[in-house]
Amino acid sequence: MYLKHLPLDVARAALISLLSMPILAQDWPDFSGTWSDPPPRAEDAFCHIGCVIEAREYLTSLVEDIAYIDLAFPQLYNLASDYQDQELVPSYMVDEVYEKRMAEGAHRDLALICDPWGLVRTSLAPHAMKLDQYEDHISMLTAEWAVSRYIYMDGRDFPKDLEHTKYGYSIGHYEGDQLVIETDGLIADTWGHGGFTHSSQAKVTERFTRIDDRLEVEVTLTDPLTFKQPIRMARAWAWAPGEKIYPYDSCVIPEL
Amino acid sequence: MNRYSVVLLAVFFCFPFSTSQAHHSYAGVYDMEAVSHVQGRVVELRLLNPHTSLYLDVINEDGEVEEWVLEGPGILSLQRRGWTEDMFEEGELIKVYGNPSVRGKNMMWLDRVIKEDGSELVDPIVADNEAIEAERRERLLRIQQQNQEQ
Repeated sequence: MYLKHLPLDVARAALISLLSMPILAQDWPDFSGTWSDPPPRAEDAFCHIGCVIEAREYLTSLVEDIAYIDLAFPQLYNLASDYQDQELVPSYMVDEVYEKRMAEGAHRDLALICDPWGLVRTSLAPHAMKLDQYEDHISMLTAEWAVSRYIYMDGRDFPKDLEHTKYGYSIGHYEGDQLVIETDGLIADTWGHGGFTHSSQAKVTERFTRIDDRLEVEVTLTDPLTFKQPIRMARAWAWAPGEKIYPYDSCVIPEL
Repeated sequence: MNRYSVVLLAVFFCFPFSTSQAHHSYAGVYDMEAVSHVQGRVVELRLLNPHTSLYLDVINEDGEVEEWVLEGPGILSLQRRGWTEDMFEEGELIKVYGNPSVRGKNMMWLDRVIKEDGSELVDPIVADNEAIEAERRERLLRIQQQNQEQ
């Protein structure tokens, strides 16, 4: 009985599938597809959950310096990580904000209370990310927390009465070979493993660049209430057409 | 401290490639600077996003079975290395090295698994770090040798 209708159903499904497919990128650089963890490389390993670009440069200098030949890579990683969390990021922060942060003491990571990350940390989240380009928008799905993002690509500006949310309001455009996404309307949130926060005045610019089977993003976080100047961070993905993004179904609050 | 007839040592020897830097989120749950090991029989392996759980039955020194949970990298990272949910036989005896719970719970962050036949399964982050370090060391040694020759 069902078989009798199968050809029509299949044809209908194929047509729907065809109509809902992203328009092939002809007038813009092609970023569509699934991207995942990059191949093992010192800088990429350091930035697999996002890093401040100056800290990445510091790691590179350590890795390439023959004076550190007796230190293993994880030790150099930790040196660069400590530099980033204890010197670099604090040097960017508005003094009063940093003092308040220190007075509050140890920060409890959002991951330990199963609270999804906000946009800033999600933009640098590890593992897979699926990006689809359409004429008027881009959709992104991240494996970490299974966050689904919608980026307007129709030339609109930010709405005047912007509602502030965890992932904000994103608009994008292309600049040559780059995809540029700007996000405003964020609520105050936590980013980074050092437990540093941003205010609701934070604005984020993501610049994606594709180099063959490699995708890089530079994330600039501007927040005059938190930072003296914009702070630039980065991470990279490798082309991973065979990978699928699984539901985020196992957030368990660890017993502390 | 724990008392197990099967060996469970809070050994503070370090693997040459610690994963401590990779899991800052869980620094409050697991002691990423310490490495322990536990031996037991496999109950179930569940490959999940974001983290995988390997359930193990461990016999303590009183002869009682205790349930352990070994948490590890997510399904994508492990699938890429060929891990599958049926890769262990139920009841298979394995030894797992990893970072112990800071609260002394029957939990560990999984670094590597050693099967009865001696074969090893390594956390992809540990494996990546090993590859990075091997390439770097070889390159720097070559430069050092060239410098000495000049």
